[in-house]
Amino acid sequence: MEGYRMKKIWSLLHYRIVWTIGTALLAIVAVPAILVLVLKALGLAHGASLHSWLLDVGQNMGPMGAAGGAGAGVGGSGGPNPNPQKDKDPDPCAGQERAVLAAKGTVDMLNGQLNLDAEKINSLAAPAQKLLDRAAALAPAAQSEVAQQFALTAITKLIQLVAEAAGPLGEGAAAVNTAVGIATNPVGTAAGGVPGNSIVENAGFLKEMYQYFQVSQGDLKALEELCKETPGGLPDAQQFLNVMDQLNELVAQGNALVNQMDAENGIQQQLNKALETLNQDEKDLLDCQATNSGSDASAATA
Amino acid sequence: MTEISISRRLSSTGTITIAGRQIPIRVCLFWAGVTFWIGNMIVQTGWAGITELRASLYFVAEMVVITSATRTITLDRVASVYCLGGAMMGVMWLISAVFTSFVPSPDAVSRQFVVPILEEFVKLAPVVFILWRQRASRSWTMGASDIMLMAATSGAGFGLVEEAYYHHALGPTRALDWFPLTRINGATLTVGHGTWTALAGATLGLALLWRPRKPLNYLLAGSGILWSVIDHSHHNYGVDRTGFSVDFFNFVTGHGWISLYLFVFGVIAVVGSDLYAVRGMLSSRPQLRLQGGKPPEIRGQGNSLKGLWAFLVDRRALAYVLFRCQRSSGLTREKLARLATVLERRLPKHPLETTLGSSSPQQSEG
Repeated sequence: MEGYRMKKIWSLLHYRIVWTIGTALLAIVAVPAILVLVLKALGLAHGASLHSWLLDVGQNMGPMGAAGGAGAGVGGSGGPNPNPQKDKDPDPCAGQERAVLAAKGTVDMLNGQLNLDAEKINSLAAPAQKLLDRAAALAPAAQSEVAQQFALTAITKLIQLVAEAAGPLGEGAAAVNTAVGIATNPVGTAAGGVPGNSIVENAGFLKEMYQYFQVSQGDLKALEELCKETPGGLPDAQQFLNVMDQLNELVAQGNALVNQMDAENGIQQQLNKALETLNQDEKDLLDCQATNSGSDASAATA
Repeated sequence: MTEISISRRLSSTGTITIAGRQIPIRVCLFWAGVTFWIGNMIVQTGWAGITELRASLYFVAEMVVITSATRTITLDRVASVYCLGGAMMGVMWLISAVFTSFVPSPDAVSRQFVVPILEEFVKLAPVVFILWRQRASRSWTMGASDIMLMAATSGAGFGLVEEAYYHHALGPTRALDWFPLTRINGATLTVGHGTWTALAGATLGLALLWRPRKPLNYLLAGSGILWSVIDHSHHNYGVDRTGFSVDFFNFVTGHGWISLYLFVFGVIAVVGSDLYAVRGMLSSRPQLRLQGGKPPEIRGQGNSLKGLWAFLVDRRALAYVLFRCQRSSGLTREKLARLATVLERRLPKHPLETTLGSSSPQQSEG
């Protein structure tokens, strides 16, 4: 029985908490005891402090001694070396270098933003192209359908828009032109009507298309009403109209992005300003480096 | 007849012409100020002042020699900081006078704790000011030795007049043979203002060099000055007092001897750290090693002793910047890397092939 108890007590030592409590108790009791013993021993060795060295400027010195501090201050403002290689800034152009780096950072940031917007614009070009192709394909049937209702005026302008935007798209556009018998400007204001790879071309295309749609809103409305009012509907014209609506929406998105870039305080303008600042900072840095290139002496001599 | 005239050069520094020799005004100011400071002290304290001046300069010279393999600051700077320490003594006297107007009793317990705190911070103030003022780049090129040396010098300048007055009033005291600035009184050792501030500067320098994580950096940087305040307070508080509190102070500070051991340990740590930083830099840049005790050809200075010293100092500055760069992150790292590039560009180098032939570089740093 006794052996079992001992074994149980012994097994308690395997718990960390037991050790922690034991250490804490020992610290509470033993440390002060040791401290008191040491202090007691020190007290027995010398009950009084053995030194009398008071380090207090105000106590040890009179005003005349303190006045010397003024001389020391004057001395500290100068130096004994007639040609001091001062502990100068190791890089006299550090400020200009920092300015150039900051300007470069701004330019990079704006370029990144610009690229992001350009990607968005470019990503709109391909769907716009598809919709244009589809509109061009639907145009002859729609035109023929509307002609039967003696309401050619509304659709003619829209088909003309598609034809001009599509420009030399190829057979589709040619078919439209032939079918409707309208004279189109082959070089159109939409720069050939084909969204190219360049952001400039795509942006120009979307902008021009937006303007076309703005002036054609009345025709779209008229065609929409004609489709609604005609008994039995105009399925081909309706399809054409749907495609034109989708195109209209896409162009409006693209136009908003282009405007965001070109606005008075838009990203492009900010980038132009940042580039001007960068050029100026780079010029300042070059001037500074040229000025200091002759005085690049060692930082220190003994 | 000596002709004295004042002229101004194109630069902002003026000169005074004495007997045909142009002497910069800053030099004249230095000598005039120092003459008044030291001269006034010697007039007031006589031979005691001269003895204390010798002890103080001996301490500064010791520190300069000990740090000669690692420092980057000039002796000109050391002299200026010594004077600034003296100026701080005047400032402290004024602060003390204001304190006395509130607490007139010289034995007030508050005085014996507040004054040491103020004195320790005031002594270190010139060093902190210099570091702050040159925080853009020069401070990053300083090793821990530079900061410790400046602190030691400022403290020695601070204590000079006070110790002269004390010596004058109470006579000479025993000192350690190799450390004349110390005082032995019975069982107690007083290391003095210079050593206390050197200890504060050593830990500050180590913290700025090693840049440990928070809060370790604050702990390391402040530990030196904290200990100095404790030991300084121990001295002031223990005067003419007995009892438990005095015994406790004596126990904690080892009668002042612990400060001496901490100082010795601090100096070894500081110099060792700086040498370690230089060694690390050299292992990755073997083209900056000396060859046959000679540096690469230096900007029109040939291989003169002055040129060699300038090369070594610039090389150390680069090493300290690189060391800090390795232990930094983010914008600070970027800034230090840029500074290191600028410093390295300035350093003349041996052709890499010849150096590689004599040593095997360890590419340890980027």
